[in-house]
Amino acid sequence: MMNWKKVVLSVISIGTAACVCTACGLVPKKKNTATNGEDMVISIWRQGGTPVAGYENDENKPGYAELASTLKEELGVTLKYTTPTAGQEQQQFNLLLASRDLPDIVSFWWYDVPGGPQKAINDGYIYPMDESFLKENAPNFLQLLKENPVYEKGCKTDKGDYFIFPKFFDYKGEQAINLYTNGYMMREDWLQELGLEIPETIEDWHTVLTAFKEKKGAKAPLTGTQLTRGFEGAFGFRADFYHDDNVVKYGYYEDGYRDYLTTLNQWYNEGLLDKNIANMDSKMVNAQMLSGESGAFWGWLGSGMGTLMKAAPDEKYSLMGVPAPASDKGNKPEYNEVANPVYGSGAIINGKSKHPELAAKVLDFGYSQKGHMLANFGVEGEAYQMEDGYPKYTNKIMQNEEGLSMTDALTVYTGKIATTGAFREDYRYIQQYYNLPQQQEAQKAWMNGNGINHLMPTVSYTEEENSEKSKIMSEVKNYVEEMNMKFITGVEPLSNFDNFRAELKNLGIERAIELTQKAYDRYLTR
Amino acid sequence: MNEAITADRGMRVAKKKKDRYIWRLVYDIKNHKMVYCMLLPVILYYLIFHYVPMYGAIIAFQNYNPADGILGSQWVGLANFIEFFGSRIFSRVLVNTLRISLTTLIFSFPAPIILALLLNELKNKIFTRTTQTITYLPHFISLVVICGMIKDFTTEDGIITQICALLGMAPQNMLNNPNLFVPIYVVSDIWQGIGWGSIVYLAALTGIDQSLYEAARIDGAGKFRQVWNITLPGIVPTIIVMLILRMGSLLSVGYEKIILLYNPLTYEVADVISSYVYRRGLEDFAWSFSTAVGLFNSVINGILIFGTNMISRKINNTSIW
Repeated sequence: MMNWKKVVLSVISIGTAACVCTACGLVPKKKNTATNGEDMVISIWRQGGTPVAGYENDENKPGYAELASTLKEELGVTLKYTTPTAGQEQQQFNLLLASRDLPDIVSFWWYDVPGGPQKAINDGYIYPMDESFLKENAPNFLQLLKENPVYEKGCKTDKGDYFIFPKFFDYKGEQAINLYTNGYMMREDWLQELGLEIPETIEDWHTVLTAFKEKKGAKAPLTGTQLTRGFEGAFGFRADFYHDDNVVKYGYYEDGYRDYLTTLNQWYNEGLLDKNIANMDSKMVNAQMLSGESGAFWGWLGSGMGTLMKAAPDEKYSLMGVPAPASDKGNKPEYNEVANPVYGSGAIINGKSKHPELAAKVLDFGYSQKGHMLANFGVEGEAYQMEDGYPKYTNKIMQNEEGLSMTDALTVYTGKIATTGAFREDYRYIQQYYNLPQQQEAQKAWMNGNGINHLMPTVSYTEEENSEKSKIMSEVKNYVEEMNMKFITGVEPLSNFDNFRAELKNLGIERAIELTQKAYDRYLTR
Repeated sequence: MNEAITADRGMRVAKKKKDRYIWRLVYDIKNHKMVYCMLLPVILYYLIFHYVPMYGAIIAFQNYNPADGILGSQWVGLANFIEFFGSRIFSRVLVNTLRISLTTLIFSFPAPIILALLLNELKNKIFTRTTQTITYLPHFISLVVICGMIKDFTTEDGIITQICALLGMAPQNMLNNPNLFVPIYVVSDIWQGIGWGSIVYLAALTGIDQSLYEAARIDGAGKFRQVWNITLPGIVPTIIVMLILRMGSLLSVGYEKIILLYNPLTYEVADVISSYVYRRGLEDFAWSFSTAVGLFNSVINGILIFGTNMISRKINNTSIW
């Protein structure tokens, strides 16, 4: 009778003890037996991206296998990956910081790390590098920096330390297409049917949208998830922080913002703007664009145009990218939407790493000729063929027989050390990725503008500046977002615009601009 | 003299009582080792996962920096609290929280009780069960899906807007109208929780002595009288306990539903403490600040739950502890 009780008792006690011990980390973890003495192991923490069915393990991906064997051959290094759970990257990154036990390489949004990159260096999270270190251990990376001052400035702190191996975009001339992947799109067939020109100015847009409403029966001619993007250029400012000839400005604090609101409010009242504009998501936008409820929208090339063209209801249905409106006819759009050539994320070497040199060599591989091709195109003969010096994806990528989408096929067949860092994204990849003629035309349309001259680069703040600015901006952002919608929908009359400006001033916007200006000045002298 | 004796006796009684309690506990443990062993995992669970982490709340008084750890971060005293109370947004989020919370309490707390009373009166078992199952269902749907449905139904040509239009309301995107946010929030809350919430009351109803109804019928009480004088008093203890527990979360309006439903046009009525904490803590990384706000929230909730419990114990001898 007592026996089963004893069994239960011991099971519970042992179970509890085990739980407690593991919870407190009392049980020493087993040493990783994979280290066999000769090979060095470099541990990497990086975002995994969307897993591909059948290829969840890195080892099964041909691209990754090639990367691993090349690194082993050339550097005698084995990579050991940790991948955060998809969707919880930010939380797990925060935990990683709190644990103070980072792997050798961590790839994440380091530019936005709380307190800024300089603080992360001071705290010992990031290993700062000087030029001689890079010359020795990352020559390919250094060469790329020296050839492209824009890249170099983006990888340095104000003190002059190199700290990150980011993802770069091609940005010169025609190659800059990587930077233009979102903007306004319109029903091309409607334009042709109504005999309208591609709109250039705000007045043109008004004509086109009115025609869409009256002649095509569109209930909400203009829609989108982020309405304000791109339009403000015609009114002489850009949303958020930007600079005019190195003078930092905050768009919503500029005079042009009043005219902008007046126009959009008028459009809203005329029924040219979607009445549901305040709570649209991309699914709803796509649905409206397909059903003909809307004729123009702001969106992305892939999830917007690509998805819509695939789902097109009939053969006539066609979309085109239209440039952001300019202030006057014949002018180039001054503030068109453009991405930064230095992506916001990248790989850093842990400040406490035992092998910073080796880690730098591993990361440098991504910028070498071999690593560059592997990261962008995969293995030659398998994922791409050279045709007249142009790496052309094979059908394994373009029309995968296993049924993988192009995005998934690229994940499987290319080999990157980290998906969000330590390589340069080739424009020839984008050229083939957005392969619809409409998509390529759209990029050309969006590229035509001076937006890149006003772009705010990744500046960095001191610890005090950072906490002061983020305190101000957390209130300002929320307030602007709220008032913007209220002015457009007319809930708040435009006569209150001066009060809005006064409140912004009250919240400290001028101080925030001043801080940004300081940081930008330091960036310029890097 | 007399007083001293009484006091002395009182102390002795108290001491004796205490002795007795400890002695009783030791005795009890000796006699029921197994039971206490089975309790152990639960106690440890609460200690390790609920009490130990509480020391992390001290970052509310610091300028927390993960690199320096909880013990090494700079001590700033009440600065985070002062920043919160002094901020432009403080009165707004507090008022919104209270408004949403109290409206929910008034309308959505009694709803399951009424449903349970109605179901209790039904004689057709099949109909009762079908109704119960249908009212449970929304509870099992993910909140994200629920909010997606609410958004779809309340657009300018959504089904709910259309129904309201038939009743004379101007067709509009209902979620863009600040006056409609709280009603939408509360009504959907009732819809989502009414069936699930009624389970506990239905269980309490089965415990009422049937002979009381019989006696009431003989005395000539009608249906309504029976409900008022027998059924309701029968489940009052359950209602009170549920109410006390509900009071404990008066200041915590869940941020998930708010964030899924609000938009810039309704910030002024929809922004609550928890959604503000979410924005500051998880989007701006102001860990210490959001911990301070969270701590303030917990303290108020704690006071409310103790207060309600005490009042309830004084008035009708029903309390949680």
